[in-house]
Amino acid sequence: MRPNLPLPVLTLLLLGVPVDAHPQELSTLSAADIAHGERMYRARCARCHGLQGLGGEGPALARPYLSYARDDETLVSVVQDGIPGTGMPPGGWLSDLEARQIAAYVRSLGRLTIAQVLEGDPARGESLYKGKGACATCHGANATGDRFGPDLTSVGARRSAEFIRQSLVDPGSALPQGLTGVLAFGFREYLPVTAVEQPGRSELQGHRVNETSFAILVRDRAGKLHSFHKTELVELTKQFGQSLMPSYRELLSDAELDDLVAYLISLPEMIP
Amino acid sequence: MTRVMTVVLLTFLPGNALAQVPYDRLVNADSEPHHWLTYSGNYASYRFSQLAEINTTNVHRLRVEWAYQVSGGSLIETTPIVVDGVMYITEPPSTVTALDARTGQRIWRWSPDVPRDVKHIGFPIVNRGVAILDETIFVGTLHAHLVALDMHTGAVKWDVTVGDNDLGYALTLAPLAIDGKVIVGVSGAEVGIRGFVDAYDAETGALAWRRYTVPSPGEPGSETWDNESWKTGGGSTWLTGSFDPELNLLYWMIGNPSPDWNGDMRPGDNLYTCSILALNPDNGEIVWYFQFTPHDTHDWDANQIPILLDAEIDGRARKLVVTANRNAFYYVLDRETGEFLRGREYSKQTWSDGLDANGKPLVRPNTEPTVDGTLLWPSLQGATNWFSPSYSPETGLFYVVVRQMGSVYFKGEVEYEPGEPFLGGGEQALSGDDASGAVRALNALTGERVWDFELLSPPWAGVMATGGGLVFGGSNEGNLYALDATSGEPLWDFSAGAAVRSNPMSFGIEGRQYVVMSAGSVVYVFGLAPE
Repeated sequence: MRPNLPLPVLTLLLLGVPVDAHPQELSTLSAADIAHGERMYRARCARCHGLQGLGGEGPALARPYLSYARDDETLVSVVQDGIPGTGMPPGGWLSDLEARQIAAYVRSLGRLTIAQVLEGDPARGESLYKGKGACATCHGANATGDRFGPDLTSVGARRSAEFIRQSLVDPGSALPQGLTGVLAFGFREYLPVTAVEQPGRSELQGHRVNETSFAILVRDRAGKLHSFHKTELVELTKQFGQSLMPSYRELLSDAELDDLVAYLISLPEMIP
Repeated sequence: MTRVMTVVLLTFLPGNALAQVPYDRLVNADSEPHHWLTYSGNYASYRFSQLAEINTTNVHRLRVEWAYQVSGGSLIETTPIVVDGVMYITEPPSTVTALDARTGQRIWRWSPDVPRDVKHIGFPIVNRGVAILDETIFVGTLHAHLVALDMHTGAVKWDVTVGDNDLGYALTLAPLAIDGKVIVGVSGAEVGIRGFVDAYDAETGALAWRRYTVPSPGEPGSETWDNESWKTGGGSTWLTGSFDPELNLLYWMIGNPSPDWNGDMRPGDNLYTCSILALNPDNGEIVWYFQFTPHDTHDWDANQIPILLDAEIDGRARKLVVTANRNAFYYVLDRETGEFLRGREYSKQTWSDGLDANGKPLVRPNTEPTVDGTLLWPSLQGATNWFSPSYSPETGLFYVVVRQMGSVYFKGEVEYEPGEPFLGGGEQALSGDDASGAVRALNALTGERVWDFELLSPPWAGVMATGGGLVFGGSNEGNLYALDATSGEPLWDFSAGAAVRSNPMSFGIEGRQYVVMSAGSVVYVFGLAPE
C-alpha cells in the first residue's frame, strides 16, 4: 500500500524542480552560503580549530592544503562524517547543503595568507628540549615518545603554536582527547589518576591508559602497567585539569618557551 | 510429551485450539518463567525473570555456555524469544534464525530480500526481535514489510507491505502478538513520514486497522498542527508497546515530530507526537492519550517501554502505567484514564522547571535549538532511549539505564523532499569524560532514586531484574554485568569485547537457568558452572 504523494512533492514536480538535485560544487556557493557556513563554523568547529582557523586542540585549517581533505568532496565528507580514529567527530546531522556551506567557509580560510608567526629559534629550542627542559626524559631524544610520554613528532601538524605553548605552561589544560584511538572518543588521554588497593596501602600514581565501567589500566612513572578491577580499589581519583608533565611556566623564560615551541613545530609532519 | 510429538499431533488438528503458543500462553506468560514469550517478557513489559537459580550468592560462577555470531559483524539489538527449547532471534537487517536453546545449533534461517539501498535514515541497521503466536513467528523488516513464518520451518505464510521504504518507512521493532492480531509500528520520523500503528490479522495478514499518530484536518488533535505540516509530521512508533488483556487496552509510545530540530513550520503541540496512546485493540480507536513533550524540538521521542503495574496511590488502588521518558522525567499515569498522577526528574535536565499538576513540563526560556547552538541536558539521545528498563515486583523498583550527557543543539533550514533526511538541525554531544551513564533504581511509584551504579560512558543497553535478586545489563565499553537488585553492588562482570546494544533475557531448560546478553555481533548465553 503506497501512501499518496505528499503535497510538497507534487508542488516540486509541478514546478519542475528536480527532487534529486546534484550536489553543489563548493566554488559555486554564494557569499550568503559562505556567511552561513561561517556562523555554523563558529558554533561547531572553532572550539578546536580556532575562530580564524589557526588551530588549537585541532589542526590549523587556514592553509591551502589540508592533509585529510585534498579535494572538496573529501572535505565535505570529513565535515559530515568526521575522521574515525582521530579527535574529529561527525558533523552531527548536518544537511548536505550545510556541510557544503561549512566546507566552503573552511576553503575560504585557506585562501587567506595567515602565517604562523614564530618568534622562537628551533635550534635553541632543540637544545632546551634535550638539556634544560629535560623533555627527552619522557618524550625521547627525537621526540618519538617513550612508554610514559607521547610521541610529539606530528604535534606541529596537529596543534597550533598557541596551543603547544599553553600545554607547556599549563599541561593539565591541554590533555589530548581521542587522539590515539585507545580510549573512546572524547576521553582525556594521559589523565593522572591515583589508585589505592587497600586502606593504608601506598597510593599508586600514574596516568590512565584505558578504562571501562569495571576496570582501569594505569601506567606509572616508571612506565609499568597496572591493571585493576575497580572492585579491588578502595579509592580511585581522577585528577581532571592536571597532568603528570610539569609546568614550564617558572622553569623557562618567555623567549625560551618560544624557542621550544618553534622546535616542536619544526618536527617532521607524520600525518599522511 | 516431547516437542517433536506435539508438532506431529498438531499438524492434523484444525484451528488454533491446540496451537503450540496460543494467545492464552502469552496472557499467562508469568506462569511459565522458563520461557520468554514476548519482547519484554510479559504483556506488562516487566522484563523481569522469576528464575532464581542464578542468584546473589552464586552469580560469580556464571560462565559462557555457548555463543552465536550473527552475520556480517552487524549490531545486535534483538531480544530472543525462547519457547519449548527453541530460541528465535533476528539478525540484521531482518533475518530470523531459530536456534537450539541448549547448544546454539541452527535449526532454520530465513532472510528477506532487503534492497541494498534500503533507507534507514536516523538509525543503524538493526532489528529488535520477533513475536510468536500459535504456530507463527512474526518479523518486521527494514524495508517495511511484516512477514509471518512457520515456527517449525521458517517457511513464509504471508508477507505484507506496511509502508513505503522509498519514503523512509522501516520496521526495526519486535511486533506484539495479541489475540488474533499482530501489532506493529514504523520508524521514519527523520524522513518526514506520517507515523501510524497497524494491526494485522495473524492468520491472513489482512490489515485490521491503522491508527495514524498525526491527525488529519478535522480529527481531534488536528488543531495542534499548522497548514500542511501534519502530512510530514513524524510521530513514529518504532518500539514494542504493552498490553492489558483485562482492560483490553494497548499502550503504544509515539515518537518525535518532524522535522526534528526546527519547529517553525509546525507551530502547536503537535499531537500525538512524544505521547503515549491507549488504543482499543479491536478497532484502533484512541481511548486516551498523554503527551510528555508538547512541540518537541530536541528529538525527545517517547519510544521507551511503558510498564504496567497495579498499586495503591494515595490510598486508592490504581492500575498504572509508568515510564522513564527520554526527556529525563519519570511519569506515573492511571492506565484506565490516562490521568497524570505523579512525575519527577530522574536524570539531569536543564530544559524544564518541572511538571505542573497535569504533568505538562514548565519549559524554560531559551531552550530551543539555534544556529549558534544551545547547550542542554539531556542530549538528543535522551536521558534514556529504546533500551529496556525493568520492573521487579519483588523489590518494587524500576531499573532504568540513564545517559548523563549534554548536547549543543543546532537549528538548520530544512525543506521536505520525499525519502530524504528531514531534520532541520542537529547536535554536538558532550563526550568522553564530560558524559557518563548509570543504572538507576527508582521507587516505581514515585520515581525517587533508591540507588545508582555509575557507568563510565552513556550506554545503549537495557537491564533485566531477576527472582535471584540480580539486575543484568551491559556497558558501552563492552562489560556484561550483574548487580545486586537491592543495593546496586556489582557482583559479576564479563568483558565481552565490544559495545553492548541489547537487552538481557533469561530462560530455563531442565531446571537450569540461562541468561542471554549480546555484545558487538555475538549472542552470549551464560549458565552456572558446577560448584
